[in-house]
Amino acid sequence: MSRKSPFSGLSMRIMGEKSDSLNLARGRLVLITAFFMLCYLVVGARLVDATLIQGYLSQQLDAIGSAEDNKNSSVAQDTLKETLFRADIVDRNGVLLATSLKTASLYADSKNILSPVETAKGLTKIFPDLTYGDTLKKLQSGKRFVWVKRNMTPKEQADVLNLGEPGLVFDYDYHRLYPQGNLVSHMIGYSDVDGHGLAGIERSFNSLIKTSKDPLQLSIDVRLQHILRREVKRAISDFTAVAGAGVIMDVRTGEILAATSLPDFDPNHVTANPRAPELFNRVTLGVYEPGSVFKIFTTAALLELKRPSFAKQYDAVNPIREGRYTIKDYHPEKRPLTIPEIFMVSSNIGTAHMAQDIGTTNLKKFFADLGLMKKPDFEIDEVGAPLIPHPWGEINTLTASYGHGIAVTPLQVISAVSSIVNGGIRVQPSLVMNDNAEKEQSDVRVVSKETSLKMRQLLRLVVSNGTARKADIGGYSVGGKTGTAQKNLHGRYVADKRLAMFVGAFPIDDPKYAVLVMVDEPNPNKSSYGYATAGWVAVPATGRVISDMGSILGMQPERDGADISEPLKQFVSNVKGEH
Amino acid sequence: MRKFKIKLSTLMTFVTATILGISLFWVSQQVQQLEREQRELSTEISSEQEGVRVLNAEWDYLNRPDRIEALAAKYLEKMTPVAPDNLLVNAKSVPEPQILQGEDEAPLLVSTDSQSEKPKEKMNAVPSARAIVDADDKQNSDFEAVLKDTEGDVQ
Repeated sequence: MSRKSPFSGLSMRIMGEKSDSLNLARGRLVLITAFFMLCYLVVGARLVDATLIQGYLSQQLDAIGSAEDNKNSSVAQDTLKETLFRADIVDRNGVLLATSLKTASLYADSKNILSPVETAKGLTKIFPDLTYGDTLKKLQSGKRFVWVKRNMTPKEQADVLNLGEPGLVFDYDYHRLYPQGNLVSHMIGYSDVDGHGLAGIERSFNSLIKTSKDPLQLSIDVRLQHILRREVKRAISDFTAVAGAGVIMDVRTGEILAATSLPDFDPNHVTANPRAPELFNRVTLGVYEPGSVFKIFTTAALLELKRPSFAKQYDAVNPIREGRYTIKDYHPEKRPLTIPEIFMVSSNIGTAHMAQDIGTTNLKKFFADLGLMKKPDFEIDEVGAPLIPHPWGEINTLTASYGHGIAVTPLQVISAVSSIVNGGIRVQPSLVMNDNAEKEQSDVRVVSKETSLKMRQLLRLVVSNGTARKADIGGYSVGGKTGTAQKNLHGRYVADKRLAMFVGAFPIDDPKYAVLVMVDEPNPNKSSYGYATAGWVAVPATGRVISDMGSILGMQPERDGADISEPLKQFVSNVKGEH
Repeated sequence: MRKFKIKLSTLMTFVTATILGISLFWVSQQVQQLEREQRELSTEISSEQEGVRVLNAEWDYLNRPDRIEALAAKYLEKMTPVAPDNLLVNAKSVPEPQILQGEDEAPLLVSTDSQSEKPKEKMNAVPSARAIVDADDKQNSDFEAVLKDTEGDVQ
């Protein structure tokens, strides 16, 4: 530094020309100094504010929510766990059928546990299913991470927090919950702890449920579901049956309002065994020989294709012999019967003769139009394919006409019946609510309006005068058909093992809903006078279902309406049938 | 002698720079503050939403049809489910309560005369066959027990 610093002699005064420029420099210097001082002052003030004033406030906030820190540090974990979230499933009225809740799971950092003995005591008090010894061992293990309890309720969590033990730490993840328990088990299905749907809607809509935030709405109505389940359950216990099933369907849209398969399971606690009978969906997966219920389809085929008069008579005197088979009647009338009589007393011989009239090709085609010959499209994966005789010979036409030698799911039966009674438009069974259902309704006609009306008259006749009189409840005119099939075990029909089924529709003048009740292997009891046929088992249950559901759905009862089966009475003479 | 001679433009530049600097600092502080508030609020909202989900699940759990049916059977003993025969098609066919002019005060009079009791029967719009069960009377600790039974089932 050879030169002298210009500021070393500030006291020196320089006059003359140079003084101006020096003063200017000095003035600038003062300004800059003032500016920087101001800056540092602001920074200093802000420091005081940030560290002392705000720091104090935030400390107090921390004391209130001490868990906050934990949460922030596990943001990465949280995003990972979002994948366990599954969208809600709700019924048609928005009632939760399945939901995902963020639940706390408790693990212990045993190095931080202050008093293992007291903590173990406290924990066993909160969770009675934990044993004291195991818990104590976990708390003294010296590990940094030991699971103590998965998925606890908020109340239990509060109790654990009240223990005040710093070594107990919560971890949050989503847990699938089914608030309705057993009620809708088979249709919703269930999912595993990793968030994969394993059955029912949970499985078939797995990817949608995993990605969507909006609830998935089903056409089920839990109130109707409860009525149906209660009555099927009652029929099973009254007649010491092994199983049962029931379906309520909107006959116009094919929406399933209720579907129950008993025995059922609680999706919150699913057994490990996938072959357990509770897990089997009898509505969509089980195929059964429906028995006389099939006469609805045979008779409809005859009325549609041959257009006979109701007065036409078929011989029901002589059993039909075809090869090594003999077709007999349960309650032989031993006289020629008119079509309404055949339908009413459920004559196998008469119906087999009708099938002969229709012809094998026509009958098969008609069944196929109704969706009885192949696996139906449905929104859940557990759908059974019907058992169709192969090859289909002459005898198969005769037996299929009254529902033997062909096995279909209850879902197919009720869809086919709905298609016939709703005016003849084929319906597609559906479980998921579709806002555009009106537009997407199929317009495939399976029977003419005239045939549909005739079939409704026949169905009404069965309830007013025939085998289903116990479903003739006041207020709603019910029409339906019973079917009691002998069960085929290992290729042999067993006399005392039956399948009782009833399909009804109401109000039969212009049906809105169809109800199917099926009871597997009912046994006679005292109140049924030794009978275990559909008329005693499935019909009263259906009657109770209809009588209860009418008021829930706000359907106006009709008391003075004319019975549409009245015109058929002239074709019916005294019959004694009780099937 | 000219001491400090500062151009106006220089002064303006300094003042502007200072104001801009301060306001920038202030704005960024405000933004940080608001961001913090927003984070807090969204945490709060999501925890409230979780709470709502839990309450919804509990509500639907407590409103299971079978539970409602059991409670109704227990506490509303005379009120059975409506049978179709009990549904009236026409609202006009509901019998109207017969309140007669002047007579509605009569039952309030304390009298031992049996004659004055008679208007009371006319007053009663509820069929005498159906007893009126006061729900409040029945809401005792039993109800709590039912609630307790169902508590903790949700897991």
